[in-house]
Amino acid sequence: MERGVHDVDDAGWFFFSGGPGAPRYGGDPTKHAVDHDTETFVREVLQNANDQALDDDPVKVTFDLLTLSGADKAAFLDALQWNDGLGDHIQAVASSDNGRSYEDLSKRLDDPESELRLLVVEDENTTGLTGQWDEDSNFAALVRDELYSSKRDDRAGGSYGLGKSVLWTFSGASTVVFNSRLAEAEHETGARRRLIGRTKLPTHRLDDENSSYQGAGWLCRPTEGDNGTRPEAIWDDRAARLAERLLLDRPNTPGTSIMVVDYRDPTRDERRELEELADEFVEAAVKYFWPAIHRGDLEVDVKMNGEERVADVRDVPSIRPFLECFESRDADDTTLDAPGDVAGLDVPLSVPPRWDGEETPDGEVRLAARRASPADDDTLLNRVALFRGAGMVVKYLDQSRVAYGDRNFHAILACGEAKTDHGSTPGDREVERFLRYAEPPEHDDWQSTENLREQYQRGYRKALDEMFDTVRDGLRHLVAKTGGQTRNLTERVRDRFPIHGGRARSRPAPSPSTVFDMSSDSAFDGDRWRFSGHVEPVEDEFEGWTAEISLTGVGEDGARYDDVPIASVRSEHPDVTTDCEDGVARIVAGPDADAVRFDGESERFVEGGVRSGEIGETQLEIRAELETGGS
Amino acid sequence: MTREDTLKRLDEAGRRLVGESFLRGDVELDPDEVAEFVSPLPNEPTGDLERLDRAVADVVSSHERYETDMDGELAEEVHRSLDVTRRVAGDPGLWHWLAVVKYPEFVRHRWKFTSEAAMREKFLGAGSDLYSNALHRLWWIAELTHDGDDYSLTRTVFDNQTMVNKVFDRWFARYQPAVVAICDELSDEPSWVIDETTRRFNHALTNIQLEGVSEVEARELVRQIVDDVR
Repeated sequence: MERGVHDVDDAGWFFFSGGPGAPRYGGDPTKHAVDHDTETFVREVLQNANDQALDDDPVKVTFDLLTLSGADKAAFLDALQWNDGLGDHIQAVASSDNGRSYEDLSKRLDDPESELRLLVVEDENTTGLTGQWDEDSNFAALVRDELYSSKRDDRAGGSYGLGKSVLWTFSGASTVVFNSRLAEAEHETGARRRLIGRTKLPTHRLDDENSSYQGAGWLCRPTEGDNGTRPEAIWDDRAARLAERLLLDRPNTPGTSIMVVDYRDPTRDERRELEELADEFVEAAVKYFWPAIHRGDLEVDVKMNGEERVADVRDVPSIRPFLECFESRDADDTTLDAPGDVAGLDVPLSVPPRWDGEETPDGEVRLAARRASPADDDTLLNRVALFRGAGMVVKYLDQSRVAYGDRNFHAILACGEAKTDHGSTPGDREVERFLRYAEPPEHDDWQSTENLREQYQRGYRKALDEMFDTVRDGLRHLVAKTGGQTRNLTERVRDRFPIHGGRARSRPAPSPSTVFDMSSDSAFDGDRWRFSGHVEPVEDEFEGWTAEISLTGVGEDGARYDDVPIASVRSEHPDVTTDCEDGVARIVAGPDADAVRFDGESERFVEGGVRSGEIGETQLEIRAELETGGS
Repeated sequence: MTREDTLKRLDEAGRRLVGESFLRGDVELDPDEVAEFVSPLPNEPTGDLERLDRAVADVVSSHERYETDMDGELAEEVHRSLDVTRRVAGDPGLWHWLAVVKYPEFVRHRWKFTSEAAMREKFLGAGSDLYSNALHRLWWIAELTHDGDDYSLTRTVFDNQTMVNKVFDRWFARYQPAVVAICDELSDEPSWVIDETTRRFNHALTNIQLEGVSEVEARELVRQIVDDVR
């Protein structure tokens, strides 16, 4: 293998040159794997920083947009060694068949009037680019490998390493420079500061040389080793000096500053104004990281030409309803009466055993919904924000089919270590791990993945499907205009949701119960309501159960009115007793009551007809609680 | 209508201008910043904005803060000054522009700041919700209760806030014959009768298809319920 090195202050651009059989690249292969717009860029960059968090202090990320022209631009290009290596290679690509965008870049850089835009993404309180070139490390993952990731723990947002490819996609020069301060000094040298640049060009040939180059190039100190030459980072004082000249200084806190040279949005033709870009950055950061920002784990700033904006979760109107929902997610309510109300319930997630047979604790995730008000921003109306402990919204799941009439909502599904603020359980931690492996390379869904197949035994797909089915049913229940209410459920009661039976009018109202099967029917027979139904616990083993049956009048728009008093209820099952008190019927069942039929009727209406407003749509509600063993 | 000023709408993105300090009246919006988010409505409907400006100024200067009878005085003028169809009136952007850009002083003069959410509705409600936006509600209630040039029922309704609350926050308020019948029949009744009658009427409508009921039939229904209730 030959090498092409251009030394200045013993750092320079180094390109691997390929022999006759070397693979050829038409550009960076990972560039095409992800849809790249500004939102994706911000999301991926923040995810990388968020994943490298140190335990103590919040991660702080600053996006700094710089515009250079004239002498400043010339000084920067000089520091980048544009005329001592990089420029020649880019010119070589530009004159080849697929190098039209690079030709444009070369022209712009040579034109003294033309501006150069740089984006510096600086993170603080992160591990930094630790580790060696030839080991499984942050450093190798970010600057050496393609599609390979090394993340810290089970909470990390990424587990594929695809995200970093956006850095090069957004560079018109396909060039990114890293300046890092390591949280832990290198073992051998005690060094802490590390700088390296990386370009990803298509395969090309220099005019005055015979060799062709694969395209991967590094701004580095090329070092001879047993396996030939390899790019070595620039360390400590040398790194500091070069960083200063590259406008890539950073504070003395651990973390990494990343410079995207000639920043541009590949999905847009025209260059955007800085203010617009800054707005887009703030909005994207809040849209996908509001749980982390709100919890104080992440701080995002955007600077442009000296002005600074802090990403405040309350500044983005489309996100405010989700935030309110999150803040009240522990609310005991299970109905959404008025706009702005928040109600929630726990959704079970049965994690299958791990691949090695180790049993996993069952977990729950928290679903909470907020009824939308007409004053809310409706960009993300009827969506569920899915997220876990990493604090990144994986997806805004569209559930608009659950909404109806004017009953719209914003909802969250807080999972794993984000489920509660009061300390996570072993179940929460397993859910966290499970869902992390359920994220595809883009981290934009929870689905059946190769990672899940490797980490868990069969049943992972079913577990996810069941969770989403229950989320939909639960949401339907919360949003329903005549939802039930939870009253003093005891700890021994395993009832997950309040339960609806049938309704006076036949409308689809599926029971969200996972504990009982039940059905009911009711009709007005001229002077009173008659009803019947059946209740059947799904579990085989139980000590007993109780069910309360009530009738409620409903208005045209779903408003609930006074109870219609029930006069009597009967069941022929031998292990059941029934009674009526204050117009509410009650069934008390023993351990043998595995399927119970009942019927009954309301008090008689003395007078009044269908036009009197005394008799109208009436809802039959069954609220059942199951007692299982133990206490 | 004498003048034909073009009516505008505030874009979705313009909602971001409405922060807590604006809702409280602590800051005014920067006209240049606002202009970016204001655009003409489709088909460019018009209104006599000079007349509306005058009417709003009169009402604000002749009433103490938070007096409910501002509504009745202004509703007819809002309705007469804006030459819009119901379809146009269904565009929330029009009402957001009027409340946020044109008449924020009126909104704050009429409505006390009790919470951010409540005040936000007064500026940014509208759409299918007849009851929230401070100007939208005036236009719609006038639209549903006027009879040609006769706005006497509109006044009657606004004289009785129980009626405004109990009728226009319900679904049947979108059906004009029902609104006219119930407002007319209940105008002299005490609050508790209005309360109970509208509740029963809403319940009875689960048995009767509302759109099949004429104004005469709706009146009979309301009278029968009132007799039962009293």
